[in-house]
Amino acid sequence: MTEVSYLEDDRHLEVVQSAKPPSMIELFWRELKHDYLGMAGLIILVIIIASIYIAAPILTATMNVMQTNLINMNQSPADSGSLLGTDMMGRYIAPLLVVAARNSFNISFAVTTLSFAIGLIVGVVSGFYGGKLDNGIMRVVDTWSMLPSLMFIIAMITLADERTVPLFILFLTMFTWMGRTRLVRAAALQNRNMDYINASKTLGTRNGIIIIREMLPNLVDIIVANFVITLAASIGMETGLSLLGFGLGMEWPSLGTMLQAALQPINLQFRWWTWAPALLLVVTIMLCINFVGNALQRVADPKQRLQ
Amino acid sequence: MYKTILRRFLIMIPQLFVITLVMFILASQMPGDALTGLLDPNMPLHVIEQMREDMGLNLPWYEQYTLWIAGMFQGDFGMSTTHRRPVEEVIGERIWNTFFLGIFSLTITYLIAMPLGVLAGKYDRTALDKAIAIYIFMALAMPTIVLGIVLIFLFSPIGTGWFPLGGTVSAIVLSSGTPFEIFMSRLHHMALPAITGALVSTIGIIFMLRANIVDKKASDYVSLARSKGVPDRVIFGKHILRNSLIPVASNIGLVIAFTFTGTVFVEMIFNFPGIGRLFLDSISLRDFPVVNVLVLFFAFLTAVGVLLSDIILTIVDPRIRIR
Repeated sequence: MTEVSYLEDDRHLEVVQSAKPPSMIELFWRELKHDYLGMAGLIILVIIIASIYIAAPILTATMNVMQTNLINMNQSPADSGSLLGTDMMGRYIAPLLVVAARNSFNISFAVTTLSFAIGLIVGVVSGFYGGKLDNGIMRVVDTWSMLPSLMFIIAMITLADERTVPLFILFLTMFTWMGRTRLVRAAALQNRNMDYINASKTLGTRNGIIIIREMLPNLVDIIVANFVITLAASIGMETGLSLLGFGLGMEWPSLGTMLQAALQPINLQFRWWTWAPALLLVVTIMLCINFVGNALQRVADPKQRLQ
Repeated sequence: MYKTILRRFLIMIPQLFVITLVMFILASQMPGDALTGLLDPNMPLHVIEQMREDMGLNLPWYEQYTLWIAGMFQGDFGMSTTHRRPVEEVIGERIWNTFFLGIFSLTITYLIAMPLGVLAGKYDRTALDKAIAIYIFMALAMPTIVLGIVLIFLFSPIGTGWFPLGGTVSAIVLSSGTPFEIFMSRLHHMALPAITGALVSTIGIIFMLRANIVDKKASDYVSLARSKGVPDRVIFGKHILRNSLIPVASNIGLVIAFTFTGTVFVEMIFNFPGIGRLFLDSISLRDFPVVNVLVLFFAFLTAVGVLLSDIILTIVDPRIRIR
């Protein structure tokens, strides 16, 4: 009989060494290798975001993108000799589109971040402590969710004294944090009675430290995946509200305000360049974000992984 | 069961109170009232003050609120400040348009979502499943309003002209058509808005149905049935599909609520005379009596939708009992 010492076996040693779990980025990368749509989405998204954030400051510094010009109204790309022609106020579409996309991104990113920040704090506390506190918090969340959020956002924006960016972000956040709270709470509730949490409790670790050091790292992948998908939804929401005139004022170009041109039949029928670029940009951005988000979701849920 | 439903209804009442209260406080904190924008700038100030006084706008918000609630309990919904008619009349004129649009939209939602969800689940990880995934991605990337613009561009008289734009029924048919023709004309007018409203809801249902079917296919009881020699057709129809439909059925209430609140955007872009557009018009004119009743109505609808979902869940799944 030969005795095999497992620790001296080279092959086995290798396994032991690589037993450190792969990081989320590693998993994401592995997932993307099997997912062409996710890869394409990521590449296109990075290109769009990079070019928007590089070009927008340059454009605003070198020219006034909002400069109206009554002689140049409604010129098609061919007539005006510029990239995408001019709109009904004689503004050049192409530079306006870049600035508008940046504004839309900024607003959506802020709204998503804020509502996740609230959702994370309230959700983790509610899910971790459970019991009466959880019951009370969820009752508030339920009642708040019953508010017809779209109507409230529209009402508050219409009634606001002046439409500023922080106010707009605040209103959107006020009516989107509930979903995030539910998500985080459900995940925290699942982790709450798991052995690793109980082990920490037995050792006498304080609750605050358990939440931050033990529980949060286990929630990160779910949160990141949902953050990305919510970002797409926020862009859609901002676009819809601005398009209908319930977003920011005209001095803040966004993808939604640019799409307003499509509400006029004459533009829709004869002047594609006034609305089609903005529309394509919205759809492309949302499509790419969803591709990336889908890959991230599979990272968060091992059952769905492609690899 | 009947007791629980009654109890849930009773819980709803304080919740609805809170909602109306929030709306009232918001409205009172915001600048401008029903007279803003309606007034002739040459009108002397004391006349304006008198009008405010007569309409009860000078009272503190809690007194206005008490008056409003007291009126509601007596069946008096208040007077619309812009239409100068009772609120229930103004809303009543339009509520049926929204109702039919919502029902039509729901029908389309399930007509699209059910087959796609079942197919994606049954043939998961095949080319068909991938094609359906692409449909979902496209739907996710189209905010309702953007989809509306695309549909108008393609199918309204601006594009191919297959569907009319604006209104609910064509005037010629209404004056001389048979009831059936009027009905068809209505459907024809509602088709584009209904599809626009339906697409978003299909995503969740397809997702849910597919995930459930895939999950059930791998479950022990299906393996058992297969090893007993039950034909695949029976396994799928009787064991997998039925169980997978439970969450979808219980989701109906939420989808109903979602569809009706979603009509706010849809009605605006299609110029459809329903209560969603009435809300947008009223809020712009600060016609708070109408706005308040509409907000209450939509909140009530959401609450009933959630309750309906729970009730359906207990009916289709005997293991679950709501407390």
